[in-house]
Amino acid sequence: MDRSLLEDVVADVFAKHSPPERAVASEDGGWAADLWTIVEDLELPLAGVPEEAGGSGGSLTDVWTILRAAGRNAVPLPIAETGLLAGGLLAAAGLQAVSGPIAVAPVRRGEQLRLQRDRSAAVVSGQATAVPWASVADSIVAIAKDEGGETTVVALPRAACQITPGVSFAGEPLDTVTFEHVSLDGAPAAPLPHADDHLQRRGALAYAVLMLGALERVTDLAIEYAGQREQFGRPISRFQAVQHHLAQIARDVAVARGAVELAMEATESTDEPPLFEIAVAKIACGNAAHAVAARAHQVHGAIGVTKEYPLHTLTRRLWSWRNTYGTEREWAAEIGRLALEAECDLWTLMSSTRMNEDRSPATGIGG
Amino acid sequence: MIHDPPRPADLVKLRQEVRAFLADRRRSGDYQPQVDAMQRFSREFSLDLAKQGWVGMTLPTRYGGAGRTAVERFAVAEELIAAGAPVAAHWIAERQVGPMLMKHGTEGQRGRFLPGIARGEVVFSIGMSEPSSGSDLASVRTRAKPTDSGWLLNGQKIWTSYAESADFAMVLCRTSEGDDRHGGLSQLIVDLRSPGITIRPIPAMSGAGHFCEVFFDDAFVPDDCLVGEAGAGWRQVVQELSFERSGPDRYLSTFPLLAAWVESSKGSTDPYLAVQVGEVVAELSAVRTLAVRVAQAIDRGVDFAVDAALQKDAGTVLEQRLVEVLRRAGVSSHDPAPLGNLFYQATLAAPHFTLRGGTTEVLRGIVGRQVTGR
Repeated sequence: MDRSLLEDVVADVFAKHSPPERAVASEDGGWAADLWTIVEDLELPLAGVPEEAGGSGGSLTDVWTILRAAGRNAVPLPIAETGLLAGGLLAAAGLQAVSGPIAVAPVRRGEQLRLQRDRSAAVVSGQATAVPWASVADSIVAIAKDEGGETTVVALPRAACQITPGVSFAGEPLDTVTFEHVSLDGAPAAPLPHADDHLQRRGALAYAVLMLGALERVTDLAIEYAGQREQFGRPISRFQAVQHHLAQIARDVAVARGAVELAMEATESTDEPPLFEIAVAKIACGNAAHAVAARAHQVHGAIGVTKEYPLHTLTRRLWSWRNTYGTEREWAAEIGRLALEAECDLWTLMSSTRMNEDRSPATGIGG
Repeated sequence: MIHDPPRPADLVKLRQEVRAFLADRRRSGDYQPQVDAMQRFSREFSLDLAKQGWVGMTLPTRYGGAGRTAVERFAVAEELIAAGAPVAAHWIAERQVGPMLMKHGTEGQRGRFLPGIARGEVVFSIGMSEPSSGSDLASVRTRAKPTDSGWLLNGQKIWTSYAESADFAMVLCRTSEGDDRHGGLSQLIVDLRSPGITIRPIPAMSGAGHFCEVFFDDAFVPDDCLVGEAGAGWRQVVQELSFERSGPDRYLSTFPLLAAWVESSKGSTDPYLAVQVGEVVAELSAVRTLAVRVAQAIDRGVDFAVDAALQKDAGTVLEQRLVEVLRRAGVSSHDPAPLGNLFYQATLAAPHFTLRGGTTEVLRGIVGRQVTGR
């Protein structure tokens, strides 16, 4: 589908079916099953997964378009997990995509699941914490490593795992998934050909794109509110202090957008997600999430912290998403190690990353 | 001038050529990497650079330029500033005067000034600020009274970098009175060696930059030195400021310091150091993406004033913070050269980053008014 047509379609669908009230209603265990059905019928979750692998086809650009809109609309569904992440892992292992909402494990760096083989079966053991959506997913797609260091991907029914429910800042499921010698018997499973930090990178970029969408909507809300709220006989947007908040919001979002767009451009295929550009994007969005959420709440005054006003549906997601698939600190450590271990000098390292070519329109505040 | 974007492979090759040139000039002692390279003046270096075809790159070949894109110019500019090379002698002329003459200059003016700019021979200063007119630039009082064949200029400019060494200044002045204070302003190219012009240096704490005051006392400026339209000076200077605000010196002025810190830290196994390095490198890389956008916008011929303001705000604030981050990571002026020296330079240079070329407060006002539709 043409990119701007897809943008219009998802914008309409999410505006109509996933208004802020929907995000609020799905908090505290209220899984938006009807919304999932709508989104699944439109083949959005499995976009980007090749049709041969049971996906909806389409390009990575389609995936970014959908995720940016999902972030913008605070859509309370595991869209990134189902297609890009789970579908991507399964396709890379030569397996068919699995339908229904999916959670992927592990998520946090340093966590690893173990695969053990004995004469009769292969079993997965271990624990994954802070897994988005596990308690409402139909399936858990997990990657596990065996003693020989080989990685296997497996799609398991949720019931096969032990889930301890948790909740994110946004009231979305963020669960602990425990695998106690879970048998792979009958479950789709196959070796994963690529390095397992590719999941981390793809996840980081997906969440950076989600954050960018949310950041852009937060910016719109702040500008709109400041233009409408009158105090001392004029809109508060006339006051320099407020204008400077808005200008700094615009600045931080412009920087995040530039970094995300570069990472999207540099990720032509998820077989080779580029470490540097993705880390920069995740960090830029995480930094922006902090500063922009704080300033937006400041501009909004008390109404901005109410449940009724939509700002919280976005800022709470920003606070949660910045920690998912790598915190800024974790990604900064990766970049720092690259720089400190490089044989070349820092400028050679930094300037050898792909600077954005002239493929997308010059973006400024309008984005 | 709308340009086709250069191919990535060609940009890589161009950068490598500039790097090889710079490495060679460092080896022969022609320059040492410094913080705030935009303020380091060397006529010899500018001439040398021009001989490679890297000054006036975006000027048309018929004026001695290379007819290349803003993106290519940007690539060269980044290499120079990151390397801390002394670019001050040609920087202003090349960055803003050249493009302004292409936009508004007469054929005679272009023929007269552009070839010298492209050869790195002609040094321009910026004649904008006055003692009573800094952020409020429209309040300038320097007056140009019309005479027979030109104007008599009276007034004063301040913060005029390198006026003592410069050949010309692009002076914003009042050529007529109007109701609206933005009206009646014009831009004149003034030969700084004309009679009636006194130039006094103003020492700055950083030791770089060579600020000056320039006094005009019935200084004669010929008719053919009016740039663009009489009375259109405000609109023109706003455009010129877009060129001035953007650029790698707005986020790479402290890069030699950052590079020296990383280099001297190699081999460290301190995990927190890796985080500190990574945070700074990541932020810098993110800000860079905005600068590329501005260069692309220049090539496309679209308005980039707001993008330039965003980029300058982000870059200059980051640079100031970078110096403090390094200090808290343990860098000091007692570290062995070059790190210690660069840290010393950066500490003294830092306050000016968010002032020159438009204060952060003014830039945020521009952006704020844009987003609120005022």
